[in-house]
Amino acid sequence: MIRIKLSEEIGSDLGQRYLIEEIFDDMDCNSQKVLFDFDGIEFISRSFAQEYLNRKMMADYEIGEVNIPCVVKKMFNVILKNNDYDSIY
Amino acid sequence: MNYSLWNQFENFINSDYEKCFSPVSLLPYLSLKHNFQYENILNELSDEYCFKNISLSNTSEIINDLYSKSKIINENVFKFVMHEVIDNIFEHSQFTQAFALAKSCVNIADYCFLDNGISIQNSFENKNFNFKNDSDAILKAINGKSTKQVSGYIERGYGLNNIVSLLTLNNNGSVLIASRRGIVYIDNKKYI
Repeated sequence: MIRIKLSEEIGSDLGQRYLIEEIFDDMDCNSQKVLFDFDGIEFISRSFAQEYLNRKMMADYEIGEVNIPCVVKKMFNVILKNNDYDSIY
Repeated sequence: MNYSLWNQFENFINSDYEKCFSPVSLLPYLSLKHNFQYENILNELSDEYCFKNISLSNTSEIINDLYSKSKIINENVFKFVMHEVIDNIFEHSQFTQAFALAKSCVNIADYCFLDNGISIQNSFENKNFNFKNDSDAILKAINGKSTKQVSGYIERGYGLNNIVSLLTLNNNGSVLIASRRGIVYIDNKKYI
């Protein structure tokens, strides 16, 4: 299993889409499971969240998350539930 | 080009600019004044709230620095707008120069973005997307038309729509988008 701590790889703000694209593109394809650790994340952009969820859905290996902050959970819900921004901002 | 829309835009600028806009809203005024000649506009803009030549590697640092200078209160909305628009510029515009501005003035948060890229319309034309005129292309971009849609993914193309909705519906703001010879203005009561 690979564990990726996003705050160490990217920083506390998950902003640009290309950042998560690079992480997925560079990942070892032989991995059976990848665990993303969101500890220390203070902000996630819509583009980043959308790309993360897209890649997770398309991956042919298991992807999990730990330590998901409230702001990340809300943004994931915004993406998955047709952009309901009232619940987030 | 729809000249009546341009006239409405010019009247809007002339009537509202002095009384309610903060300094960064000089951008649309200067765009008209200089007929969208990028270099001429750039020469008149102050560096105080500007970050020229944004690069992909320093985006978060630039946004955080701009936030601390802007005095804008709602950090989440600020970061949402900044990251989304800058991401769009990098993904679609093929620019060589771009900059972002933000400032808070009398409880109004003011954002401006400018790039010298290929325009929404040329991006659509490169993908053989149809549109009636340049303003129609902007509306189509707002309403979810995307040149980046990939089969099997969660639908893309709603970034601009989300920004417009967030600013106009949730925060009682207004949005002005100009690209090539098209222009669209939206607030929570109307669009022109």
